[in-house]
Amino acid sequence: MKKVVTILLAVLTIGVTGAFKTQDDNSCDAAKLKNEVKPKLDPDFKYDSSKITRISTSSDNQVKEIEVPLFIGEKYRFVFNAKAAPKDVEIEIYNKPNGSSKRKLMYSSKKDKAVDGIFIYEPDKSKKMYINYNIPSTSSAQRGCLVFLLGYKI
Amino acid sequence: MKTNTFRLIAITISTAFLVGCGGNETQESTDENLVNDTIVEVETEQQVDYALPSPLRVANMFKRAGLPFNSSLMNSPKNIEKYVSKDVQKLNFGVYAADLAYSALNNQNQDAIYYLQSLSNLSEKMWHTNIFSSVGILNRFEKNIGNEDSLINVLTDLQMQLDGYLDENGLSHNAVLIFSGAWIETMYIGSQVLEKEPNEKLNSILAEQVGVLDNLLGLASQYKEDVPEDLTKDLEKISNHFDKFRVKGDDSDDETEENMSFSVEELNALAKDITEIRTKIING
Repeated sequence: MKKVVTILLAVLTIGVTGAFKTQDDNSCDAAKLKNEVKPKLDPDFKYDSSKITRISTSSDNQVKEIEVPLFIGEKYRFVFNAKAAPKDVEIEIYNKPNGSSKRKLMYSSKKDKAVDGIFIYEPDKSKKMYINYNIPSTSSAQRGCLVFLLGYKI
Repeated sequence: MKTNTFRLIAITISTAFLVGCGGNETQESTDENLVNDTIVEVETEQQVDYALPSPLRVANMFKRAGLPFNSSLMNSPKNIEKYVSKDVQKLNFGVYAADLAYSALNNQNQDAIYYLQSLSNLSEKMWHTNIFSSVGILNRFEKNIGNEDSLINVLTDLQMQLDGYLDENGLSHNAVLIFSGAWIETMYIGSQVLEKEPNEKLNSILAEQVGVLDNLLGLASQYKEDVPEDLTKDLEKISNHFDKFRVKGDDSDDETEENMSFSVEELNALAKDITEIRTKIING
C-alpha cells in the first residue's frame, strides 16, 4: 500500500509541476523568437545585442523601460518580436528617460503596421534611446515575452 | 491503516488541487482589485532595464576610429591557467572576447583562433559545456578566413549564442562580469594607443563610452548580489572620469553633446585607472 501512495504522490507532483512548466514554456521560446526576427537585420545590419523581456500582466498598468546606448552618427535598426507578448502591449521609443522635460516620442507601435507581430524602427539620429513597453492591466494574469534585437550598420 | 492511507491520498489530492488552482485564486483577487481600481485608479509600475553593446560592436567602433593593431596590448591566452574562481573566469571570458574581436577585425586570424579556443575552454570551466560547439564556431571561423564579412557573421553568431545561453539558463547576471572584462580590455587598448598618438575620432569614441558605462553600472546595481563589490567600485572609479560629459544631464539638447573629448591630462588619468583595473583582472 505504501508503494501505491508513493507512486500516487510522485505522479501528482510531476503532473502539477509539469503543467506549470508547460504553461511557462509555451508562453516564451526566446531562442525561436529571436531566430525568427534575425533575418530582419539582413543584409545591411549586423546583430549587436538583444533583450528578452518577460511579461506578466496584473491589475496594475506596467511600464518596462530599456535604456539602449547608441553611438553618435551610427545607423541602427531596432527589431521587435511581439508574437508571444500579451495582447495590447504597446512599444514606444523615446529620446530621453521617463521624467525628462525634453522627452519626445520617436516611435509608437500603435502607428506602425506590424507584420506577424514584428515591428521595425530605424532612428534618424543615434543617441541613447529609451524603449518603453506599456503593459495594460488585465483582469486575469497573462504571461508572455517581448524580444528586442538591435542591429548596426557596418 | 487503510483509513490513514485514504486520508493521506485525500490530503495529497486536495493540496495538489489547491496548488494547481493557485492561478484562479490570483485571478479572483485580481478581479476584486479591478473592481476597486475602476473606482480609485489603476497603479502604474515602472521598471528599468539596460542594454549593452556586444564586445564586437565596441571593438568595431574603435577600429573605425583608427585604432591600429598592437598584439602586445592583448591578454595572452596562456594566462587562462591563472583563472580559477568563477568571477575571474567570467571577467577574463570578456577580456578574451574583446581580444578576439580586436584580432579578427584586424585580420590577425591565428590570434583570433587562439582566443576562440580560450573562450571555449573558459566556457567548459564556467558552465561545464562549450556553448559554442553546437554552432561549430571554430570550424566556421577557419573556413571563412580571408572573408571579413563572413568572419564578422561568425562572431555575431557567437555573441547571439552566448546571449541566448545566458538568458535561457537564468544567467543574465553573468553578462555584467563578461561585458565588464570586455569593455575594460577595449578601453585599455584604446587609451594606451591614444596616449601615444593623438586621434580626435578615437578620443571622441572613448568619451562616448559614458552611455555604455552608465548602463553597465545600472546592470551592476540591478544584480548587486551577484556582482563583486570590488568590481562595482572599480567601475565607479572609472565612471568619475566621465563626469564632465554628464554635466548637462538628461535635459540637455542633443546637439550640445556631439563634441565630446578628453584633454591630455584627463586621458592620462583615465588610462592609468583603466590599466590598474585591467591588470587586476588579467592577473586573476
